[in-house]
Amino acid sequence: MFQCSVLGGGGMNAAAELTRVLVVDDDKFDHLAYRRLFKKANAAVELIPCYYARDALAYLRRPDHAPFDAIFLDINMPAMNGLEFLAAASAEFGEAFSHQVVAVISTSMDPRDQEAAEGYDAVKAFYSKPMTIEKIAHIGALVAEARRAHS
Amino acid sequence: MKALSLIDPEPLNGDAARRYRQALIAYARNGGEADLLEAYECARAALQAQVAISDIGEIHFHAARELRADSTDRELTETRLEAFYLEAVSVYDMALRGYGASVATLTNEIAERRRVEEELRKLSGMLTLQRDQLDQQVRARTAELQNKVEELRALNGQLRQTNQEQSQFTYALSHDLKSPVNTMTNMLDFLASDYQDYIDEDGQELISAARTTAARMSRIIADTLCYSQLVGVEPRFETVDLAQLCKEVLADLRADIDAAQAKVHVGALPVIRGLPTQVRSLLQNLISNGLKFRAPDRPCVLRIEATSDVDDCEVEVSVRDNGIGIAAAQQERIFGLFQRLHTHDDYPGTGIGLALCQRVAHVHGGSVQVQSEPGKGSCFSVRFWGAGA
Repeated sequence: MFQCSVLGGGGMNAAAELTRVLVVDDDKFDHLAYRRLFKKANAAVELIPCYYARDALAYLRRPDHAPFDAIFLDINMPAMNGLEFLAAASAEFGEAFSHQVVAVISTSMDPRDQEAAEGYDAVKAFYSKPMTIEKIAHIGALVAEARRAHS
Repeated sequence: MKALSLIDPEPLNGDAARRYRQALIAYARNGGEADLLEAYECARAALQAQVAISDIGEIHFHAARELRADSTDRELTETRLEAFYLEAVSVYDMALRGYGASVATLTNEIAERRRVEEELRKLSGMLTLQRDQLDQQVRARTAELQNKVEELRALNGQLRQTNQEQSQFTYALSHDLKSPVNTMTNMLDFLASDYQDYIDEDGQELISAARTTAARMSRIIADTLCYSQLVGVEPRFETVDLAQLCKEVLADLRADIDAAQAKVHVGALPVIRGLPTQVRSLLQNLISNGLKFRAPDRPCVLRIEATSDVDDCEVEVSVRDNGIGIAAAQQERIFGLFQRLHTHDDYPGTGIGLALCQRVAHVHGGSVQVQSEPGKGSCFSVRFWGAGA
């Protein structure tokens, strides 16, 4: 469904579409990896780290929260997993949440997880870990596309 | 004279007729009491020989005619003939009546008996039929149940085999993963120590991350090994002294207890039936959870206690802490394999401990129960069979 090659023309610069990303992942080393990847892609991106899904919900709930371009969402997390987060956010924020660009990034290659995740309008892409510069560029292209659709 | 005589009844009635005739002659001549009594015997014999009453009349008058012919005292003879005849006939008549009445009674009795017997036959026939049907139903049901039992036994066997295979697979996999992880850890350690001067801070950060991750992996492998060894185990229960076991576990955890500055209260612990190594893992996991999830703002206090029922059949062992507690919504999740409530930074762990405890409890015929309130503490309890059971 989400083929990087389709958007290959976007090139690495597509990562520049991203200025602020909400990273929802319990593993601090994955946060570290994202930081390094963006650095490698020469993209000045601000990463908002959430180590628990509930922290991400709290962030979305804050009326004064800074706008972000995308959410990187892990599935296997303690207390509330990625799928539960999608359910909770969709229920709480409804339409507004469905316009977000959520990229599910998981170790789980369980097709049931992918199917469940893609059931949410907010989910625009599903990747397996580890993340690569190409995958980040793909997300950048998706963000640009979504921005065009809403302008 | 001969012309007057009707048919001679003698040939028809044989012995009975001859006997009557002789007795009549004897009485007519002698007139003795014993001779007259012979009339009674004659009547009985006639009755037995089925001589009709009308034939007795014929026999009598036939014999009487001869007697009259050569009698000297006609009047006396006549009186005696009459007396004998009346005696015979009345006895015959009486016997006949009695016989008839008893025949009727007997006939009724026989009919009744026959009816009762028929009824009994019918009833026992019905009973036999019902019993046969019941037997058939029981046989059919038994066969059905036997099939079910066979089916379940086969399924159970398959399940056990699958479990054992899975357990063996998990064991082999974990075991084989152990050595590459160890090697990796070794290499990272060499890199960190031997190249410290050549690697910049950024690189050091990566090496440190890799080492932490390798250590985590190593822990997951060890715990998975532990867990896999619980699966498909044939439970051969022994007597387990919980007090002694608890002492040993606390000694093993001494460093953690000191680090947590925890106070551990141990109540009277009984002797139970169980698998010592499994009960030990369970206790160790519950106690180290109590230490790990302590509240940062108050001293950690653990209570390990047991309550027995009256006959010591069942023993409930509980480990109570005053730690951070668990929200009601999460109380089911904590027993799931690899399920965790915290990040590795907040509380390290593999998410295997409580799943392992639950497995141990299941092997011992119970389950781990949790009572908890966030911010107040948790109490985990398990039931075991007491040694008295």
